[in-house]
Amino acid sequence: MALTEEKIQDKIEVVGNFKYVQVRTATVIKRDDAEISRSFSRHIVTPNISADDLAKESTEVQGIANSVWTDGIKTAYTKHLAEMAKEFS
Amino acid sequence: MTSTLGIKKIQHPNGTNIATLNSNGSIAFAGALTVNDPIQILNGSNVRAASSDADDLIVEGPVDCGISILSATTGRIYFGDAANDDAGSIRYVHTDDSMRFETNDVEAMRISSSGAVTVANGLTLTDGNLVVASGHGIDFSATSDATGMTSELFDDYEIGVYTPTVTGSTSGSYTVGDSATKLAYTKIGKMVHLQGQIHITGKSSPSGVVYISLPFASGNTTDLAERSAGSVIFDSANSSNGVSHNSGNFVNFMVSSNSSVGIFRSSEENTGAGSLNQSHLDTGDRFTIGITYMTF
Repeated sequence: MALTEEKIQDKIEVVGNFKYVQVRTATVIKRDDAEISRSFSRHIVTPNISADDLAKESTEVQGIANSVWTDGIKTAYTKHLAEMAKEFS
Repeated sequence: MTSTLGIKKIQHPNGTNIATLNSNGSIAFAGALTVNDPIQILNGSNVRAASSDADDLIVEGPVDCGISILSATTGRIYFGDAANDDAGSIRYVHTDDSMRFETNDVEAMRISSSGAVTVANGLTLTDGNLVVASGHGIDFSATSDATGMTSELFDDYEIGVYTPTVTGSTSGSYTVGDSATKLAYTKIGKMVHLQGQIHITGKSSPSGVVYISLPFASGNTTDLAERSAGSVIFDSANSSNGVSHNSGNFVNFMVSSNSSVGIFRSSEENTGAGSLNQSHLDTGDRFTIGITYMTF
């Protein structure tokens, strides 16, 4: 009887006008190759992420981020963060 | 029995043809055929014996085998008894290309030409799951709507945990640890509920408003309708310490619209609200939050 654990990014969604990249990571436990449990974790990748941090994301996430985050999106998001910081300081 | 050039005919004594036996082995009956014993149509070798519960008409072939019901409008298989000759039925209606199933003389299920299934009276799964394809769900459009309704499709459900990042809005971050690093989430449609306790075990030059990352970005459909406030309780590993803020303040956890983070919002009677920043949250502090907000 062999138990294995595998992490899979099984859902990557692009949402909102700032093109947030929402990533769901499934942790899959298998017994003799048969799945016996699956649990989820999540994180959001935002357009202001640093190049170093983006490089730590999966290749797929990097590809999606680089394709949807235009300069216009990044500028708009930076402005949004500034407005949020001003309102909630 | 007569024979003409290899074709034999079975005739009634009155001269009426009953059946014609063709040279290719087929038999053409002139009238209705009544058989008092089971019929087996065997194309090739036997596959196996039929169930004794259903062996009155056997159609058997070694590989592919079938019965074709060919008609202009409707093809039917009826199930009857002494009281009702069509209590149950399966029919294919060519006029709208639907497959229909009736029980007790009433249509119980229909499969439309597009493959959509309509069930007349409830659906019970005794095992297994109802699996919904991405982008689809349960449609409640048959119900009456309140003004402002934007969707009646229940299209998502998910539970999980995640490790939030705790950062300063300007720069820097906090370390979470002490086996209190995760928040649990439940997503029901667009509604997200978040809860859990986080322990701050270190910091790396945080500056600005304290940001707690969310598992789903908050929505932004109209005005500030997606903004939400929840609860937070602060305490500290050092009982004499605790989060620094005026004792008269009320602190809540807030998620603004179109945001990937939540913040701690402090309000004081007759004073404008403010947000907790690096001067309020320190190593050793703990917070327990609960909030419900809407995502995209």
